Amino acid sequence: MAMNVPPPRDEEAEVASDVLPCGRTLSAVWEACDDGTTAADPHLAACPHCSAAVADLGVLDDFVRRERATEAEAVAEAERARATSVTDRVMDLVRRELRPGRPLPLGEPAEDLWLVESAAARTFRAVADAMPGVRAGSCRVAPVAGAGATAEARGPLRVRIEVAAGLTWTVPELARVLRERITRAARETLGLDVRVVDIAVVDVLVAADDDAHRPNGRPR
Amino acid sequence: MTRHHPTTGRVPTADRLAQRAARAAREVEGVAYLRPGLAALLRGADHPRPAGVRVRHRTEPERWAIELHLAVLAGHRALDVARTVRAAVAEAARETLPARARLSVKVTITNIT
Repeated sequence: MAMNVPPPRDEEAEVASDVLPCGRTLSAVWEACDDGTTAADPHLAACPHCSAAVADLGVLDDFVRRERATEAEAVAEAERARATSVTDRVMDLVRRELRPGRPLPLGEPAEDLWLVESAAARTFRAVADAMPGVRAGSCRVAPVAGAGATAEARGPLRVRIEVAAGLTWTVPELARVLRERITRAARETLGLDVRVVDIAVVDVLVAADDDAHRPNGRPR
Repeated sequence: MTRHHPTTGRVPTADRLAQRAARAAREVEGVAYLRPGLAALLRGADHPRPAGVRVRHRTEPERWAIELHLAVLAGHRALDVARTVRAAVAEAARETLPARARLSVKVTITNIT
């Protein structure tokens, strides 16, 4: 394993991103279609990725309506073939909807407020990535109460995050700073009650800032 | 085409409630979008419902449960947005529902964008 490759982001591999090549999210484009505000945003018409997404949504909409309007299998078959290019992307979104990750409790026990794990994990990985010479890997967030807790248990949370770090950090120093920043982000950015932060340094980044000056060549 | 609930005939109220809840939620500062609700679309609901809102109704005693899934804009504290949405949706729902009805509102943030 190359030492400077960030550790795998396991949740992101499972949960396909909906960011288009232009940086817009598919869901934001579709939201504009739903709201009828596509004309207000010149980017949507000018950008090939966004206009393709808009067109695809039209195809999907058409497809779903026709599917519902007719029982004729032959017609359904033809429509299915026409919509194949859309299907993968649609199924990605559906899968993401059906598997958003565990809901984590927000706020007080009496409040029925939740934040899905994938959104919390993304926030904490960004905190780690923002530190010099640190790259985040996988991050899981779960109740301190542990695996026995029911899916919608309320209570304090534990964060487990894997990072790769440059040699400028000592592990205790890195753990102290990262733990402090994650706890603060949990409180100030999200509103989650994070009590425990487990940090695993799983890899070393060698001269991450400047690959050309890596002292020992490319370790394999 | 509106489909009436076999025993209560309350589905039109549920639709109206869902639409009001969606509008109230969208107006809250920091809400990016309500979840698209594709799974429901593909299951073939026979009338359009607002995305990201689910309304459930029980009788005896009359009870309504509204569930919202939404994304929050980065730079807004997730908890504060969720709280504001919950209060705004409850207030909007109260205008539609009879005073004796019990109401619960659940908010799940699915993304920060």
